[in-house]
Amino acid sequence: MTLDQRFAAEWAAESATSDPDLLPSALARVCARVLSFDAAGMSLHGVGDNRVPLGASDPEAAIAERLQFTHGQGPCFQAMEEGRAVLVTRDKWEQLWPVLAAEHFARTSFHAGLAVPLRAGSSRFGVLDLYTRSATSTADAATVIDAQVVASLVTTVLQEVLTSAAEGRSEQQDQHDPVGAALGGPSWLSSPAALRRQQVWVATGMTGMLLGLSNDDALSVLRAHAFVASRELDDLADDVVHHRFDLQVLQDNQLS
Amino acid sequence: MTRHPHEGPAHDVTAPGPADTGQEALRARLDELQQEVATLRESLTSRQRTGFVAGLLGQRYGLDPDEAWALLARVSRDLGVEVHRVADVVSDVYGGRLDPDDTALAAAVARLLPEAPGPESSTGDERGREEERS
Repeated sequence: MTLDQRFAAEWAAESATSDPDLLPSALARVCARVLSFDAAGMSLHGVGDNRVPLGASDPEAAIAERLQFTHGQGPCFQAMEEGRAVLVTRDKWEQLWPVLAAEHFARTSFHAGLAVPLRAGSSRFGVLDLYTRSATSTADAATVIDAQVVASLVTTVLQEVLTSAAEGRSEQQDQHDPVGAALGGPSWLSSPAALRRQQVWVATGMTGMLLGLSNDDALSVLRAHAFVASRELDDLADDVVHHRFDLQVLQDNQLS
Repeated sequence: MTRHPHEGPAHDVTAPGPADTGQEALRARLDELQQEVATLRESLTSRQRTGFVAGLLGQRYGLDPDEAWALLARVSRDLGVEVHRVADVVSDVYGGRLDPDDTALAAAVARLLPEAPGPESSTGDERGREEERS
């Protein structure tokens, strides 16, 4: 079987059995499986820090995405910025992003990985992150080429299958996500992970209002606190939005 | 958005048929994909900006995100202006970069926003501030 055929067969099997809301994660699992990685995640990227998790093959892949988002760096960001596949060994992780690497290797069992941009023609819109747990695996040029093939297949699937899911937004989804219901857009921006990420922007707006900062600066302040407290930004934002975290602490930090 | 029958892998350039038609079909498909990506990116931007503004308004007026969103939606309805436009204007006003052409709209929005309940920067909920004031 060619790679295309394997992908098609695996995707046919997964999409037949998966809950429609879980299709993006099923897609991530298929990517990992056909490329012989242990795990995979997909994220959508807008401008700058605007990044939304789309699906993850397992909880560790989701954690890896949240850590990269918290730090605003990592293979995923590099792949998006440079528009090319980024292959990372453990050593390279530690060299390029030492603080992020420490958390990544403490919180996940991944060793190496590969980040591949998702694109339509020259327009990049997201990243496929692939992870391996083996300390001795050697992903090579052939793997990178295969991963790029799979990335283009993912784009086709996202367009054909998940776009039509957007037209069928459920009432339940609209109830949980009135913003999404009003603005429209794909239903995968209303997933639990995406809604949780949305809180980061709300927390940023709150922080900017309190501290008199631009959104960019407010996000930096929140990130700095997340680093100091070794917390994920999504978690901190959830606490800020629900008033479990007193923003006054950030104001006091600013003044001192 | 139209759905296409499965055409095989996007990169399959060996599909049979006259070269021109094949190329045209590929170009059309590519254009369509790029248009969808542009739409997706717009969705991402709108959602992020709405989030920022919901946080800003929530903090300003002591509202939770759902209430802040409801406020934006209400203003949008009352003015007959799209909600992302209202969010843009609010964001521009607070960011000190209001376009002169938007002055009238900003004034209309301001008239529909509540009276500020207390100091501009608040750190607690309504109940908390009530206690502080009494």
